[in-house]
Order: sequence, then C-alpha cells, then structure tokens
Amino acid sequence: MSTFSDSPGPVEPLTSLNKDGKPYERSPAVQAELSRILSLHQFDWIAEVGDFRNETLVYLIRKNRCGDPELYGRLFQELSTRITRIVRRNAWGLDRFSAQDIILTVEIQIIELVLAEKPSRKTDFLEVGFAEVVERRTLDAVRRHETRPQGKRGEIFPGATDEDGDEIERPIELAGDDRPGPEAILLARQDAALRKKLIRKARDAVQDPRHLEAVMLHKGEGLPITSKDPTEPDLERHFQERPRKIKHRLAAAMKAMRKALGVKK
Amino acid sequence: MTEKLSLEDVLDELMIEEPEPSDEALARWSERYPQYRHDLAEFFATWRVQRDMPEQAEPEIDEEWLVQQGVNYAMEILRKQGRLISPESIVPVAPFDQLVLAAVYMLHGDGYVVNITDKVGEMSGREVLLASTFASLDRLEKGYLVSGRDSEPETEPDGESRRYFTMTLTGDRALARARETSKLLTDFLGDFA
Repeated sequence: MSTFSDSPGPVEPLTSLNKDGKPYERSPAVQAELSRILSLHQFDWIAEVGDFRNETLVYLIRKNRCGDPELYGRLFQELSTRITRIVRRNAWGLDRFSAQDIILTVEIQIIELVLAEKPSRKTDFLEVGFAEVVERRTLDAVRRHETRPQGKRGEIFPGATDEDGDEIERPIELAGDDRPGPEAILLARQDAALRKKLIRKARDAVQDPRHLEAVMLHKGEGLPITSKDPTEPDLERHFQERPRKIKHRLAAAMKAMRKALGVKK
Repeated sequence: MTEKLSLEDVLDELMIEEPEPSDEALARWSERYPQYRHDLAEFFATWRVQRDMPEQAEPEIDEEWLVQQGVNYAMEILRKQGRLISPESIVPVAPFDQLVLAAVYMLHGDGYVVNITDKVGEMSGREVLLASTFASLDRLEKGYLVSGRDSEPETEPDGESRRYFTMTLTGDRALARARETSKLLTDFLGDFA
C-alpha cells in the first residue's frame, strides 16, 4: 500500500530522528522554495525546474502520486543530470568506463530511493543533504570498484604489446585478477559464517573500546604507533597518548582476543 | 537514541554532519557506532583519498547517455507503480468541472473554494453553490487534474487554514481539450494554449 498522499498538500516535516532525538529538518531555503513552488501550476514547474534545489526536486517527485509523463520526464532529466555531475566530481582518477559504471550504479540507487513507496531514513536524507548522500554512495562505489579487476584498468598501459610485438586487442584481459577461484569461493562460503562468528567473539572479548580501536587501526589499517613524518597519521597523534600507553592497549587487546579464541601466543 | 541504524544510514548521517574526513571525526563516529568501527575507518580512508588526490581532470563521460539511462529507468519504475497518466487516457471533463478547472487556472494558485465559486459564477452568469464547487474540486483532485495544499492558519486573515488549488499538467491538458469545444471557455481563457 502506498503511503503517498494524493496531493502535494503542506510541506510535512520529516520523520527520521537525529542523534538528539529530534526530527531532521529541511533547510529553511528548501522550505521557502517548496512553499513558493507548491503555489504554482505544474506547467510553471517545467519552466523553472533547472533552478530548483536538489532537495526540492526530490520532494516534488516523491509527493506527486500520479502525473503526466512529460512532467516526470523533465524532473528526472534534471535529477539525473545533477546525480551524474556530483558523482563525476567525486570520481577522480577513474577511466571513462569505470566512471560511467559508477555513475550509473549511483544513479540507479538514488532513483530507486526517490521512487520508494515507503518513506524511510534514507529517503528523508535525500531531502536534507542530497549532494552529501550522492557523494557518500559514490565513495562506496569507488571503494568497491577498487577491489575488482576492472578497477585495475588504469594500471594497463595503452598500446601494450605481446611478446611478438603485436598490439593487445583486449588489454583488460591482462589486468590482475585478485579474486579467488571456484574452490576458494566454495571454501570461503563455508568458512564465512564461522569466521564472522570468531571475529565477533574476538571483538567482544576486548572490553575497552579504545583498546579495540587501537588494534583495528594498527593491524587493520596499518597505522604505525608513532611516525616521524608529521603528515602521516599515527596512533600517538590519534589517541593523544604516549607510545607506551598505546603499546599497552594493543597488548591488552591482543591478549583478550587470543584468550577468547583459545590461541596460544 | 535507541534506534539501531544500518551502516548505510550511519554513513549518510555522517556525510550530512561532517564537512571533512578528519581523524577527530573518525574517532567520534567510531565511539558513537563501535559496531561499525572497521567500516568507518575504511570509508574515511576512501573519502580522504578522493579529497586529497592531486587535482586531475574529471573523467570523460557521455553525460547525455547517462542521463537518458536514468530517465528511462525512472519512467519504467513509474509505469510499474501506475503513476503515469498518459495524455491519451484523460477522460473528458463534465461542463461544470470545466468551469471550475478554468477558475483554478485563472486564479494562479490563489484559488480556494470561495473565490473559485465566485469565478465560476462570473463565468456562467449564474449563482453557484459552494457545495457544488467543493464536490467538483474533490472530483478534479481525485482525477489528478488539480492539486490542493492546506495553508498555515496563521497566514490567513481569519486565522483558519484554507485549501488552495493549482493545476496539474494533466489538468492543463484536460482544459486545453475542453476549450476546443466550449465557446464559453474560449471567451474567458483567451490565449490559453
């Protein structure tokens, strides 16, 4: 059952709560723009759509239960153009195909959210900070892309040749594929549940969250305990503590984890 | 806050609240959502790389094609949701409803039941009952030909909320069609396309 109302009506407040337990709010500029636009005939929207704020566009699409294809077409053309440009700005260093792949991925995600029949925290966020949400999804897509073989296309020299000196027609085939083979995938699937359980068990064993954070940053992210390079992040600066104290945190966390997992040092 | 948030929701919230991927922000969010500490660290790393990357040209893309793909996808969803009203499917509007529709158009978003009734009376040269206008507006709104919005009571002279009406694009098409067969509408609407 749809939760859309039959008409735009007044600008209802958002329902998702922030960390202080208060509902998120649209910016005053968006509220004011909505009040003005809702008093216009829809054919005037089409003339002005290029000037609408992102959040206003989202609201208008979500609030109109049914409408003319020309109206929706124009609103979505504007929305898609904006998504494309925001993603492009946040996808530095990618080749054309990777960038287009990521743009399309994010575009589809946002369109599905805008047209979701039930409001949610995710749809509310689109009316609070549209560009930020698109940027966040772009970063996620870039992060995922970098772990795929396609993400390594940039490492292949254009015009690469084979051992006979002939140009390679499909250089993507030379891209390193770090993905596991079929056997490894099968084993990984079998092990996944157990591994997840063990990781949770190890994490839960560390009582002090700062100890756990130190281990995650040191072992997981590779942050050194201390670094002479002031521009390089290190745990000493991160925690604002002496190296000795940080070593203690690491040792305490590792000890608790090993104990929980029954591993002898 | 007791609500359990997904990682996606946390990241959305983070992007709205944080202007930069600073160490201090990472520590704060890791403390707030310790269950996502690892994912947050990964996300901040990607964010920093994209922010700190030396200025490069934006990737070459076929923007027109990408936008068109998005529009096609959206229209397909709308079709499946039954939200599209094609111009061909608009049913003819009854004569009285045509006058109400024309009045809504002529009042430029300032039309509510009282002045719409007055306008219809002016056009038809007869006294019109408020109840008839109410019923007509209800029909037109249910048919997505007009759109209503309730005002804030404090903005009204009598301190009571009013329901104002504007015309949808579907209503615009219906009115254009009605005008082809109604001399009365043609006289009042003039150059209305």
